[in-house]
Amino acid sequence: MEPTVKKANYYFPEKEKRKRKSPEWEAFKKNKLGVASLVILIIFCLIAIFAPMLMPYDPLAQDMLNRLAGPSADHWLGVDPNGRDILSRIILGSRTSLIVGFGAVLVSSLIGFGIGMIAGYKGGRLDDIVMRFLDSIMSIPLLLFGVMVVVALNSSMLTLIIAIGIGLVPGCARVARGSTMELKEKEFIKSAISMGASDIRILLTHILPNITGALLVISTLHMTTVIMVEASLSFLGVGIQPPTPTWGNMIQDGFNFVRDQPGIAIYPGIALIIVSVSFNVLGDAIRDAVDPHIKKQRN
Amino acid sequence: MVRKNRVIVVLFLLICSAFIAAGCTNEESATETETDTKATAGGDGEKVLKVGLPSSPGNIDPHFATTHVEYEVVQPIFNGLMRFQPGTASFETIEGDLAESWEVSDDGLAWTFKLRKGVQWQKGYGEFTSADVKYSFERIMDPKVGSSQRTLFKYVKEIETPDDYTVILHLTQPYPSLPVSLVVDGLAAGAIVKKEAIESEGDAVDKLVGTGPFALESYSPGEKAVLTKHEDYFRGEPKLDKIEMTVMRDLTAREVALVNGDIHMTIGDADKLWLERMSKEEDLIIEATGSYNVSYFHMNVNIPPLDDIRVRKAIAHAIDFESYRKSMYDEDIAVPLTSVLSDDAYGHADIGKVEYNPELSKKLLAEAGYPDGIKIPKTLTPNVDAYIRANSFIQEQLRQVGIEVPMEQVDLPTWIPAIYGQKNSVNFQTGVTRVHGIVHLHRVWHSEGNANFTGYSGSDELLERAEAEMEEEKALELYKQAQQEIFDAYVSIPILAGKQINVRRKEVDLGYELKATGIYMAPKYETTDLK
Repeated sequence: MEPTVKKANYYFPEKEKRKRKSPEWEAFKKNKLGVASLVILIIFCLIAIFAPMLMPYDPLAQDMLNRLAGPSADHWLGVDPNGRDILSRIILGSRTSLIVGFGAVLVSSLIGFGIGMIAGYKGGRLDDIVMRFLDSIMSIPLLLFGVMVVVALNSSMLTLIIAIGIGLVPGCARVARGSTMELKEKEFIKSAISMGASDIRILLTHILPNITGALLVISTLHMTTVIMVEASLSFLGVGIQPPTPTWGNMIQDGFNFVRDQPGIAIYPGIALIIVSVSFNVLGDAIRDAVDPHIKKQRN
Repeated sequence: MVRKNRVIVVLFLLICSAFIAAGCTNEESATETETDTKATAGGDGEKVLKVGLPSSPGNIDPHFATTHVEYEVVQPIFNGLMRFQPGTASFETIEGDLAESWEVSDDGLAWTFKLRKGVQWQKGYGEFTSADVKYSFERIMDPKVGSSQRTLFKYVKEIETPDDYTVILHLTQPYPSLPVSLVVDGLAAGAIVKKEAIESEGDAVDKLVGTGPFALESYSPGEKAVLTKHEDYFRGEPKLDKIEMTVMRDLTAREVALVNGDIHMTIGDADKLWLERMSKEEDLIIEATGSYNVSYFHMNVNIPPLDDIRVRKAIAHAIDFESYRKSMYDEDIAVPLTSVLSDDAYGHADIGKVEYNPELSKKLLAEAGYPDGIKIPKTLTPNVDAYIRANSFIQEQLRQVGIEVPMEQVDLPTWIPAIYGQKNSVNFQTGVTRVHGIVHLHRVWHSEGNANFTGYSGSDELLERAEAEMEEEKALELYKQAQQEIFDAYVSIPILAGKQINVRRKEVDLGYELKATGIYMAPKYETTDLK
């Protein structure tokens, strides 16, 4: 007689989980303003990536006899004081803004979140020393900090990314520390500790995934700051050096001709406003979607 | 959520209206200031001439001044032994200032000056005498002091003062262009300073005491210099009570301030569009005068690959300066240069022009061993609008033939030491020709010249010979040879000679007819007034 094998009726929760959509994403999708800003930013990213294909003219080529010409069929946004096509320069300028933006945020996130999580998790004297040190960095205005670093070293894109990135570390560290400290008291962390999990394991597999929402929010909001600071530095002449077009130095180029051709300064300004406002709105929307307090209200 | 968005929209609108409101109030307050200024100029209050400086002066000690804004502050405070007749700036119009008369010995080695009597120092330092001249010139000549004008006095061997009102300069060799070293107005050279003041403990206000019509009252570097009238000035009491010089780096800001009457005079922009716009303003007087501002493109012969003349030639032929000149300036504002000297300088000779020929450039580059293009070491450029515009043009033209010139913007006080110290690879630079050809040639292209930006030393011997030549005809011939030699060395490409744009409000009465100025702005004398 053959033994009958009973087929167990197992329940596989993972399979269903994969199908289930994340509630955060669902909440985010309902925020029309947030989705719109995300779309705008994706468009700008695409523009930056495919800039060489989209530019109607060489953004460095100068047509001196045509300088300061207003918008026309040939030059949609007109020509700058050096005879260069403004539209092409705005398109290429989006690259600088976004590269510096993502670069600096990456730098500040990697350093800031790391420090913040360790400080928040370990607590005690280490926490005190590290956070007071970061507070002292935070007391220097970011723009001033950027000017100092760039003047002391030199003004290349890399220096800018590092300078602004480091300037934003304290902000990142604070958020990461706060969220970590809140989470540290939760039972599942305590049980992980009691099971002998190493600190690194706890930080990376238990704490990090649970605070990504908050970190994403601060990073998105920081994008606005970085882009504005980069533009300000370039406007002041200490940022990205000519001939590389950036929105900041384009505004500077047009500044002396505001009374003849206001467009030269205004068009890059508009691009700057769109991108920075979009990042801000996106940051807010993400916060609304992931914030547990708001989540409770929603339910 | 919806409510939150509404809040954002309302906030946005609020901010917009705040800006609009701010804009309106600004306009109102601007008109108020205008009436204020007019009231001041009207006569019952103090007469204060307000000047907008385009960049910040650094060291305003007259023996160290190097930038035109520093010259601007120095000019009304100090006198030299000689000056230009007011409103002029040429070698032929130099007249006595603190010196009443002078004579040169037949061998050209002794210059005897009879000094003016009864000249009073500012701030109660007593009467001016020959000892002050001796002290001032010895201070310039002392290598330990490190004056930027030392080369102007390099042939002075000894200063003799037989009595209080006679000074004899003994030279080591004949130097007929010596008067240029003694003119403060426009050249800021050979200013007579007061020993007791210079050696006193204190700041610039205490140390910088002169004999000129206005005395330094306060000075905050980077912001403002205030001068008050020197009542005992030897040509009579100045008509103005004060001169306020404020640093306003931004051209648009100066322009608005000028139109609104917040400042009375400033440096204009020679740019076509700027002139076109400003000439429509009814309250302003705009005068384009000499001396010419000469623009060059200097290449440092000590920095590879620029030590190779083929590379320098390639660069020179790659830049279309003619189209630059035509697109930026009106024909009567900027003229092409036919030599390294502008045609209003004493001793100018027509040498020729550097032809625009990018194909030749590429060929020369290939010959020099760089068929795939070349990268020149980074160059600093001052963050002055006209410089950035010119440098962007040059950068782009060179890129077309495969020459890359990275550039970094710095402020003027950082740029000045870089070019004077020959640390910059290439420079677009604009300056005033020092009236006298040989003085300018020596200053810029002699290896010991104090404005040698290129490190060029190939014409030292010729320049020295030209300098000492007493006979006019022979001297002119030597100047011509020197210009040819420097031109052929391709160290400094002459770009253009532009007139200076003097712009001031109608109420300013200079007190003389302005034909030319050595510095950028019209000099201020005791006769200058506000109507």
